[in-house]
Amino acid sequence: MQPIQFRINGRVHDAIIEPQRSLLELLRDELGLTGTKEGCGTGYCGACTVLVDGDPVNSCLFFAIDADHRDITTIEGLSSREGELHPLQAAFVDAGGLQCGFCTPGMLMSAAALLRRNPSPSEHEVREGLAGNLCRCTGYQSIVEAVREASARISSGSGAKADNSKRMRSRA
Amino acid sequence: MQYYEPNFVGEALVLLERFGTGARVLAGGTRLAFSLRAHPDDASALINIKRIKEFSDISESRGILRIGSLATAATLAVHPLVHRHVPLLAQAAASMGARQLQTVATLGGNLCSGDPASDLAAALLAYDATCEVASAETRSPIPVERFLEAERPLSGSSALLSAVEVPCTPRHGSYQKIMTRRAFEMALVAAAFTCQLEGSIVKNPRVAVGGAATRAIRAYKAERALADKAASEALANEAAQLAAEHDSKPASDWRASEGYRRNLVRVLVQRAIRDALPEM
Repeated sequence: MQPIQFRINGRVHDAIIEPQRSLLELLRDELGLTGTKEGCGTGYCGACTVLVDGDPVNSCLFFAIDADHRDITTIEGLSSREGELHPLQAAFVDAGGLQCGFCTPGMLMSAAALLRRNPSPSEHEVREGLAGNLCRCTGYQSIVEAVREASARISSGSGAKADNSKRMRSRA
Repeated sequence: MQYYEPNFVGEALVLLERFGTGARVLAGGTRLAFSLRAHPDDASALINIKRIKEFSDISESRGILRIGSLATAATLAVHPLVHRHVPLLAQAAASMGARQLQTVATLGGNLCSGDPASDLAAALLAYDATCEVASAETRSPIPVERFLEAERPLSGSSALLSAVEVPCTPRHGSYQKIMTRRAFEMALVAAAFTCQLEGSIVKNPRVAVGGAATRAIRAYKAERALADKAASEALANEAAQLAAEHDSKPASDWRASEGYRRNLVRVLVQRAIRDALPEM
């Protein structure tokens, strides 16, 4: 068992872990942060995506021991303000960028990392940037629109609020 | 299972010697995660080498680019020295897996994986790269091609891949890759081509193909066809044909048949040459 210390969604945390345990297990089972999902457990689907020092990783393959002295951000920590949605989350709501929601936390974390390195991605760049996240429900179009919408809102300084009147498309 | 975080190469090598085939080297860990879960009792020691600073350096000196074995794909994709001297490696790294994989996957891990379709191996073969292998007594430079001959390079040995070195000679080049879909899949087939030009004469061509044999290979017949000849469409086609028919030994598996892979080799080598030498 090894002691580690890391920052999780801004808060310092100490843990004692078996080094070969996955970060995903540490997050869900030890820390109770069940927003991050296990989709495949093999690094193929991206549902388990979290940010380590701002960069996206598949937490199912990331060794918990390597979280030591790192800054981890999960979906629970995406929005910097308690009770408020991050512009990406609001845009996903408005654009209908989710159905079952299982891929969504990972999708949002990848999108957040994408916008951090490329604040105004083209459609192609969004698709490339999210290539590591699979969705079986939406067909991706609404996800791509949501990310582009979020990028526009962030640039213009508007909207972290989801708003029914701003629905980007009507869904039957 | 014991856990260690050596700070220096020497420490790590002593541990490898001590634990022999029970030692597991942890770099990015993307493959190790699987094998440890599948066979938890086979490993007696987990040796995390990420504290060994020299393995993370990328530097140029006296005409040689030295890339530490812990360089991640994400780093290789954007590093200015990599872009300047081995751009095909940057491309291969940027197209490998997906962003989440690139953040953690390392050059060393990719080369030591024994993966026949290793994205980075094909790119390095096109540059006369050497692998620096660190053992207790010495550092040995081994040409990448020879390094890749082992099914799982360095597995069970008391040595570590410390760096890859590439001579900084300017070359024209192109990297072409086909995957079954955009992300996650390793390259089905990849072709990397580099050469120098004297006027329109092709000099020192290197044609490397991944996914067309049990490991990344140099397509020597294709290279001989190209060397010291005037670049042309016809020459590119001839070389591509040779690469596909004679240099490649592709497998048939659930992803693709042998015939399809051979055709991909032909198409990708052709594209790579055309892309590298647009004026021909």
